[in-house]
Formats: sequence, C-alpha cells, structure tokens
Amino acid sequence: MCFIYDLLIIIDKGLYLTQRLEPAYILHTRYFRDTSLIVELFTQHEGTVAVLAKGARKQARWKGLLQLFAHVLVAWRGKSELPILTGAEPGGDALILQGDALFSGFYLNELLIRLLHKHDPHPRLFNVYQQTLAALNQGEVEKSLRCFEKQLLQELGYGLVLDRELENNTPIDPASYYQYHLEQGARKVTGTAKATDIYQGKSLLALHHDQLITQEARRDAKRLMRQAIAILLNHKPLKSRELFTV
Amino acid sequence: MSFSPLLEELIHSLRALPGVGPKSAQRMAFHLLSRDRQGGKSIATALQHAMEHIQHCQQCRTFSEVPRCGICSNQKRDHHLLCIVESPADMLAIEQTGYRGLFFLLLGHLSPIDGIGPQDIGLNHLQQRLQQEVIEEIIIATNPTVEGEATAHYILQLAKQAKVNCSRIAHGVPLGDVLEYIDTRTLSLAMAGRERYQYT
Repeated sequence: MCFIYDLLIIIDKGLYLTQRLEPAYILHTRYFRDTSLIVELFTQHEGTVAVLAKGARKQARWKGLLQLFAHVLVAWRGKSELPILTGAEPGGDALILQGDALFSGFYLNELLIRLLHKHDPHPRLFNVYQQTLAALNQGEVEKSLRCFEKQLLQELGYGLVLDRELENNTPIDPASYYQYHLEQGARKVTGTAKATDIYQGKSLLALHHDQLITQEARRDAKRLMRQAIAILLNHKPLKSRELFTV
Repeated sequence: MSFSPLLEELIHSLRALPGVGPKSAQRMAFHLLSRDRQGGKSIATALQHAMEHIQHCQQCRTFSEVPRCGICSNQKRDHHLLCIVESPADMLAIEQTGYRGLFFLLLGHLSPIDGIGPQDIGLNHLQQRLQQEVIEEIIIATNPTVEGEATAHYILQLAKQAKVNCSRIAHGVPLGDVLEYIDTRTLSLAMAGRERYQYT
C-alpha cells in the first residue's frame, strides 16, 4: 500500500515537473472545506482561471504564497470547472501593497473578476496589470488606475476614442468642450455647459496620452471612466469602492 | 430507496454544519438514532436554547446571551484599551496571553469580491464607539493576510479620524521555528519590523 502511495507521489511529481509553469497573479481566494482554498488566478496565457488548492490552508509552504496580489508560477491539472493546483512557486519579488494602494488593488481585482470571462486569454492586459501593481506600490494611485481602466476597456472591445471627434474625425481641440457618448465618441458642444457627460478637450487628450497631470484632468478622467465601466457592469455597484469612504 | 420523512429532514438539517456532506450527515443521524438518543436530545435542547437566546454583545459583538458580555461588563478590566479581532476564536487566543483590556469583534474581514464591505463587519459601530467612549489605544489584531491588512488600514483611518492611538500586533517568526523554512514575505516583514536589542 505504501509502495503504491509512493509511486503515485512520483507520478504526480513527474507530471508537475513536465508541466510548464504559468505566470499568474492571485485575484481572490476563498475557503473550501476545512483545509482547502479556491484560488482565482489571472494567468498570463489563459486569462482568469479558478483552481482548487487542496490542503493549502494547512501547508505552511502554500499558506504564505497563495496571498492576494502575489506573483506566482503555477501548474494545474484537470479539465473540469475547477482544476487542481499541482504546483505553485514564487514568481518574483514579494510585492506588499499597503494603504490606499492596497484598496486600489482590490478594485483592480474586482474589475477583472467581474468583467473578464474565464479562460479568455488577455496577455497584454496581464502586462498592464503587472505594471499597474508596480505603479500602485510606488504610490501613483490615481493615474495608474485610470490607465488600467482605459486599457481594460480597450481589451474588452470598448476602447474610447479620445483624440478625434466622432463625426468629422477632426483632432480634439484642447480648449473646446465635448459631449462624450460612451458608445460613439466625442461631439463638440458650444459654451461650457456643466452636464455630467461634458468634458474639456484637454482632459480627453490628457487621458489619451496617459498624462493626467492636473487635478481637473484627473477628475474628468475619473468621471468618464466611471460612466464607461458602469455600463459594462450593468450599473451594479463595485463593493471595493466602499473602502474609500472614510 | 428513500428514508422516512422525519429521517430525511434530520439528515438534510445536519448538512447545515460546515464540512458535512450527505454521507456524513447520514452517519451522524444513524449514530444518534441507534446508539445515543440521549445525546441527540441534549444536542437538540442545547441548539434550541442557543439559537433562541444567544445574540451579539451590544458593545463588542461577541456571542452572548446578555446584552453586555462578561468581558465588557467586567469593571476590573482596562476600559481604555480596545483590541480588534476577526473572530471569537481569535478573541480567546488573545485572552490567553493575559490581555486585560476590552475587545471588538469584526466577525470577518474586508473582502469586497465576496461582497463584504466595512458595514458588513461592523466598522460603523466601531466608529461610533471610538467617538463616544474614552479609548486611549486600539490594538489591531487582524490576521496577517492581505484582507486582514486591508481591514487594519481601514481601522487605522477610523482611529485617525477619532484621534485615538493605534497599534498593531507584531509580524514575526514563530517561536521554535527555523529561519530556513520561513516564507520570504514573513521574513521580510520580520526584518523590517526588527527591534532594538538591548541590555535590560
């Protein structure tokens, strides 16, 4: 009996060694039974995947590793809805988000879990996520969130055209005001009406070039992105925004 | 084959316990019926009483059948010290260290993806307490997970708002462990939080 068990371990290890380890970030974990965890991963080549980490809450080796925002190299086995995690190793420097950066990290993860379809590969977005976490860690919270949201929309096929007008394709004028239709684009308006979907040209251009320097540009970018993302979420609120209410 | 309706109901009800599937529920039901009727009856009465009478302590949110639990109403304890923990089990663990202040239980941690926000773990109640009572220090003892860290940061902001001193239990290497097998994150926190080692 012992011999069979040893053999099984060897086969298991063999499988693990021949499997390519996939770079991934941990988006979410939740308890499963007494000792296991269900881990939601954002992988580089296979998009978001949920795996079952058996006994992960008892093994010291996995407990410290399978934490949110950790960069890991993972392997899993099985084709079911919930494949089994067979290996996990640290994938890079341990990134420890703190304070507002941590709350923003929860926001990113909630967006990815709610908006991406499981197993849809998004390798470009994976890189953007990686860069965003690094930027958050260095304290560039607002700017990096807006860039992430912009790229996320683009990746999902709802990219916003921010440098040209909708009708005649003329370049956006920094001094003019535009009404932004989220599904269509920018349309010039006269005057400086203060409606919720009116933006100054320079704010749109600042977001387009990822140069959100002024307070006003940041405020406008936030307003625009909130509206765009609300549509994708069917106007269901994001829970992680509640963290910013103190 | 199906069991009698009462037995089916019992098996179905036992499945409410965590980690109990249909097979275990069946085993438990048969055991109680065939070998330990008295035990079964006392479980039933205890459950009935507990479910009817146990509420949350109005002050610290722990389970209690009186409006203020034994710890909160004990005048010998330090009422200016408040330790914040995630679960009743954590409360017991801290209590065993000889801590003599009061507690506040979150009964969870912030986890927006599971739909758990600040209100769901009673942080609005904590905010009120910080404003109404004379508390000199709060000690945050949330778990050393990322969610625990987020919860701690939120509480820190509440403490700052109410101008209350705030401390947090140290991160470090467990006693009797060897450094070689400690994960990098724990060790880097232990390095960052190192203390002056001096003659006493």
